[in-house]
Amino acid sequence: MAVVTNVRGFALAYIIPIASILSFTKPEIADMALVKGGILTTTDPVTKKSIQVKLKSFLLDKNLVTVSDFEAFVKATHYVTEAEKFGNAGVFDDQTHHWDLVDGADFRFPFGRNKPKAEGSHPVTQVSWNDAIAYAKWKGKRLPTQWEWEHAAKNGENTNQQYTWGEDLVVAGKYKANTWQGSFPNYNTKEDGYAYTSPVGVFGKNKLGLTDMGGNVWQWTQDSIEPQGRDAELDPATRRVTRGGSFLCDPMICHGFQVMGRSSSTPESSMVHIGFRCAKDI
Amino acid sequence: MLIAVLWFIGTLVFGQKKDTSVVKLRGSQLIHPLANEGYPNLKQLIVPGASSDSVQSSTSKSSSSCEGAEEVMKKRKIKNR
Repeated sequence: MAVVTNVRGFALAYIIPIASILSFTKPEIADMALVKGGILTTTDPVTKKSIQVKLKSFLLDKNLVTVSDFEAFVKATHYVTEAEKFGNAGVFDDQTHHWDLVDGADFRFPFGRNKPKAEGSHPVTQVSWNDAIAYAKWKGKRLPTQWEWEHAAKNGENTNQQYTWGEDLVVAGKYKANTWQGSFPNYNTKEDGYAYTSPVGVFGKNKLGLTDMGGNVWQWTQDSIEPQGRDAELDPATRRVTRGGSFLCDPMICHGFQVMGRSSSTPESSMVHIGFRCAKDI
Repeated sequence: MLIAVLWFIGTLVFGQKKDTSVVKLRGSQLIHPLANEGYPNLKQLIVPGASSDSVQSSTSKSSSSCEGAEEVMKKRKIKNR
């Protein structure tokens, strides 16, 4: 009995605390930021009315999932993306200024086989919502809800600031996000240094340590939304909400990279400007 | 004749306002290239106090870079049937 007590005491005193510390030093946890819960005041995307959403604390990937991250998943599981199954994916052609369905485009060659291969440090694109879900499950994670994403973009502070980093897109002559400069779709002056995606994190962190919470690529979230108007006429299928805007967002016509920005696409969609990051319950 | 002259002057004075409806960048210091290309007043037309709610009505895909992307994905679904 004394031995049992000693074993329990030893476990309580040493093993459990050490195990807890080790669990937070796991790479997948260390690469995540703690977003404390709270009440998010926002606008309902359908009714346009002000709403309040209660959120629990959660973990969110500091960075977007990269091409290298996704390659590791594919290598380990032999997963085949929807772009590979379809044999094509959506690419914005900056020469024709149109979106095209490009044969052979996938996460390794997001612009097509005759264009440069995706760099490992860049966010993975040409992954559908279904692909993102598969990756998240493999990592023992999930996609954030649109409200969790917004709460994190607002640094968990429920602020009214325009962008995750503050109020101005350009600070001290430097762009704070990968967006489109010039006049979309006619020309891109690339003043931010990038015509397409940029390596994750190069534009800095917000207060929570999260990068690319505006610009670079749109980010899939868990949530669904029913299409309305012209979108519904085109395809009545339920959409999945994306947040964060992308390198194609011209601030003059697209506000997607603001903390309130929102778009959506059908879950099988794979496009050159959509990626994702994962969340995890605590 | 007087009406024609007034119309011409009016066109010159008010003709450059066509871009103001899309500029709602609160506090933005963005200098759009158009500001240097025949739209010298564009930078000043940035609305400092624009509500962030205006973002909601400005995220319509029909007016953004996502225009055309939905059509392409629909085309893919049809092609795959």
